[in-house]
Amino acid sequence: MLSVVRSSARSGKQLEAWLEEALVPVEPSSRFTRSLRARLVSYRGDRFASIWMVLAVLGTSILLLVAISSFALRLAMAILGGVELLSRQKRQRDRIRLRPT
Amino acid sequence: MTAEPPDDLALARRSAGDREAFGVLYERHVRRIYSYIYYRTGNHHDAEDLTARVFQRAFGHISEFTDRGVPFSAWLYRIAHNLVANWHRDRSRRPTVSLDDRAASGVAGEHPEAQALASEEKTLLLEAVRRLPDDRQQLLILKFVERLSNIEVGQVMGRTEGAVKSLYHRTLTSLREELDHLEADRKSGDSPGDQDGTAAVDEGKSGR
Repeated sequence: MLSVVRSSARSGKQLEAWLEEALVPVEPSSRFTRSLRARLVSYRGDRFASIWMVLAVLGTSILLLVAISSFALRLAMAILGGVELLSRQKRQRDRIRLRPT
Repeated sequence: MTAEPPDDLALARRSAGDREAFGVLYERHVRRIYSYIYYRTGNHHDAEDLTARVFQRAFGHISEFTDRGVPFSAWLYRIAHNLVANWHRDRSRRPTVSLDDRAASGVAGEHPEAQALASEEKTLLLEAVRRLPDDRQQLLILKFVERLSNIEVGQVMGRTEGAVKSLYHRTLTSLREELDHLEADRKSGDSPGDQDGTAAVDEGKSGR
């Protein structure tokens, strides 16, 4: 039947018969249809997020902000502490140098 | 006495607040949408990806669906058509990928050589179909895969029955010409990637 493909004289009827034979429904895999259905049933699309999701995002953002601030504060204190330590050492050296013998 | 199953429009109206209703619509239409996209893309992987996107988009916009006198499937086909067109446009910017996914062909028990020949000819036909403009591909798939009448095809494509008939005749003419070109290319050995039987898909010609 499909040898009509290579015929140089393809009538409309022949082409239609050939198309009928070649274009048949293609089944998706059952695994795919099941998993997509499962995703769709729990998918919320473009709807506005629920209040709980908003609260969760807000809470997480605040905690993250606190954590970052706390880290920044500790870093600043560490730097200041280091600077203070160095200046104290310098003052001690100066005091020793200037002590009357 | 059993109740009539709700029609698509009733389910679509309920789907905005009832995911299970959309699940029923999904079960009714996933195979035809998948088939349509498979023939437009030529492989199962992209067909699965685009089918998923069709239904995700449909579900996300189900509240915007209104009854305009056309079947619900027409709305799904429209989404699929647009996504496939975007897919072709995006692929045309990248190098061609050989088609290595062929439609099932042959009958169990046939001689392997006959099966191989039938498969090759089927590949040739499908390649010719995919070289047609979008609307003509859609027409052929709706008529032959989905077995829709001209009126039903017109509802999906937004055309009159007469326009569909006219387009159909022009489509057959174009298909014949594409087959002639493909055969000429194969005989001269100029068709890229065809020497081992694979068919090059979408060299920017699809999606016209």
